[in-house]
Amino acid sequence: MAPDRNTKRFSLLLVEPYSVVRSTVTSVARSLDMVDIQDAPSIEAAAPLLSSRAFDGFVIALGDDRAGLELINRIRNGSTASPTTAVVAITTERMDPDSIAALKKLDVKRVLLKPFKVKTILETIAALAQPARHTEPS
Amino acid sequence: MASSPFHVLPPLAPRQALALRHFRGRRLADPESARIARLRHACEDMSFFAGPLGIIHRMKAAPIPEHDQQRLQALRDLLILDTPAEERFDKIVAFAAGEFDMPIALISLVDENRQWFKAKVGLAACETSRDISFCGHALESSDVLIVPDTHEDERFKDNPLVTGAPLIRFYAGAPLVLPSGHVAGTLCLIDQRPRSLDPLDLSILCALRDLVLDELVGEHRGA
Repeated sequence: MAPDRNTKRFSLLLVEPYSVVRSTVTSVARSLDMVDIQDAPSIEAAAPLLSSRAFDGFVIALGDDRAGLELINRIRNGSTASPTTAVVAITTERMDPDSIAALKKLDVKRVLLKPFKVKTILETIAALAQPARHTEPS
Repeated sequence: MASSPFHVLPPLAPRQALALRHFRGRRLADPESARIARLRHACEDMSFFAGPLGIIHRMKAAPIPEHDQQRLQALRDLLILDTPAEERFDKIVAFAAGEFDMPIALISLVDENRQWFKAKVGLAACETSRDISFCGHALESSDVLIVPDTHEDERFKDNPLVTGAPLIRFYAGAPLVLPSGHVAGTLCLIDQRPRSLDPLDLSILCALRDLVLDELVGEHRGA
């Protein structure tokens, strides 16, 4: 699952409030050298990272306060340091047709409904990272 | 030695059976017994459970690490043995059980003569004897101990925890390696059917094990 030596490391921000999930995903992603991963327990806590670092991808827990959707809007509007085309997956406890339509409009690549397994998040991260890898000029 | 897992011997007198069990705990009550000495010589480090009619069950007992006294001291320095259940540990074993779809998940700490469970899912007992413990086999390595099918493993096929409740078929134990290098016990997964774990599963198990260690000794590791 580790990238080739000649590929750019895919950087990803995980926003996940549940500490066991967050710690486990981050630890495994680092130990297997899957991606360059950073994590935060909330969007508020992620604010410094969002303004100072460019991420190629995000896995964001939506929560009930729509802060997750607002963050995706900010990414798409170029209000963070990340490219507007960064790939995004979300985790959520519920989903309705209106939300699905909104997420499609924001080009969200994957929706993970809770409860899900850590393994599923890790497989999702690997899938998100795959198309963005490109060979650096030698 | 015969290949059969059972050896039929004349019934042991109660005192001899007691002495034999104590031998496994290095507290042989009757070291002069010729019968026990013969068994000891013939069976080396095998563990014995004298059943009806003197049927002796062969089983590879959990080995005692070379520096077990130092290991036990490091474990006891944690001041965690026999403490009440704590949410910070319970949530990790509950998560592990759910993540791997395992009926049993434990944080097992291996004391001198027992394994004691700091946190548990799917098991009523709070401890078992050390010599029949699976986790006791994981003390001498930092690698995860995997037993895909106990019925196919000579070390465990006659273990009372396999032949009786909780009828263990699959076991995976990630060692809890203390800063001293000693293994306090394991975060372990148990199922009643044969299983396997892929490399990603193993990484997840080890990450959860690290969370347990952070809770056990985090402040010491960070010092």
